[in-house]
Amino acid sequence: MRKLLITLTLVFTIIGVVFTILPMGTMAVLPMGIALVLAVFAFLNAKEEQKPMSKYLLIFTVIVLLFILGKVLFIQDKVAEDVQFEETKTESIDEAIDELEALDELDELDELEGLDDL
Amino acid sequence: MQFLHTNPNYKEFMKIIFLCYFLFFILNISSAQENPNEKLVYVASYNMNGLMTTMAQVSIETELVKTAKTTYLHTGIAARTFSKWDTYLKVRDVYDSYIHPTTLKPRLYKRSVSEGEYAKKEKYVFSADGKNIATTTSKKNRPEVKNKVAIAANTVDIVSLITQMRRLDFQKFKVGDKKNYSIVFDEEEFAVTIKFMGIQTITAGNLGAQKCYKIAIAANSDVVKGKDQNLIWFTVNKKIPALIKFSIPVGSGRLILKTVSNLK
Repeated sequence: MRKLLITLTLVFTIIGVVFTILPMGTMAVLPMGIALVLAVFAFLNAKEEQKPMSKYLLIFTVIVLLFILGKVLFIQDKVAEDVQFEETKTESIDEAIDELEALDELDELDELEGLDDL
Repeated sequence: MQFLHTNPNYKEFMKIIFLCYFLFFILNISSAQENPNEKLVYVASYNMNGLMTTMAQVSIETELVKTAKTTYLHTGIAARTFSKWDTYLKVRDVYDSYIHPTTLKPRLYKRSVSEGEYAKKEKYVFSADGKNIATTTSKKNRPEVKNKVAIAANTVDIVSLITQMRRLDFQKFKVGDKKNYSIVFDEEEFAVTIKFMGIQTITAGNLGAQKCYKIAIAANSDVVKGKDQNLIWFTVNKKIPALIKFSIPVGSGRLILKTVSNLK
């Protein structure tokens, strides 16, 4: 039973750590929460000589969980400065103005042709 | 033309034309200046296994763009993934629409999509009568494709649709009232129906708690999913989209208004 609990704790801890490294936000809380509960049960079921392993696992899950919560609460989402993107946007607007100028001229020609038809 | 020059009423006729043009110009400018230089910033989240995960920043900017003869209303929507996502999936999407400020009909629509390895550029030039569009599409490592698509005269692009919706007088709507639109996206034209769902108070970024019109959007297309699951809340005051909830075949998400700047 203890071995099963420890194995499951390790599996959920690994998933939690992967989610913490990936930008999954609060999603990492779920596997780490499960890992913490399993670690507590493993610790409570352990005999005196088996306790160190369960204890270190419990401490590790608590640390990772606190790290995730800290990351969610204190690290703000921000976009990276992207000069190339901003330049592309500006160039696109400049091109659009030229295209609109050409369209205006076409419209004027169409209007004149319409008047000629009168 | 020769007939007009020799006509004794020609000068009078030209005066009327000039007066009409002048009045139209004044109307044009005053209408276009309704919300120039407005900037709305949103946080986009995506539902991952029931938990909303913040993915990107979406900004909607409005400005006046002047050519020698006309002043167009330019609305640009830009989506950028947060830096934490850039290593895994870098998204840089831009949607631009150049709208005639009085008719609110688009003249030029540009879309530039860059999502990881996928890249696509689209340009739609709407004809003066709005009955067809000249499209130019280019994808990464593929040749440019030009096409001509016939559309209904009232069909607009997706950015112009938001602009047109913001001009609606929702005060006159009753709960359940609907309005139909037609949009063109990916060179396909499809019907969009909006439904007035009532008024709710929600948080609208730096504007604080605001009374909002709740609008459901349904499309005759596979792009959206579910009944009344695609929703926009427009503030009663300035019709700012304060919250957008979407449900698409690959998942669901939301856009929450973070900041509003240069609001007149």
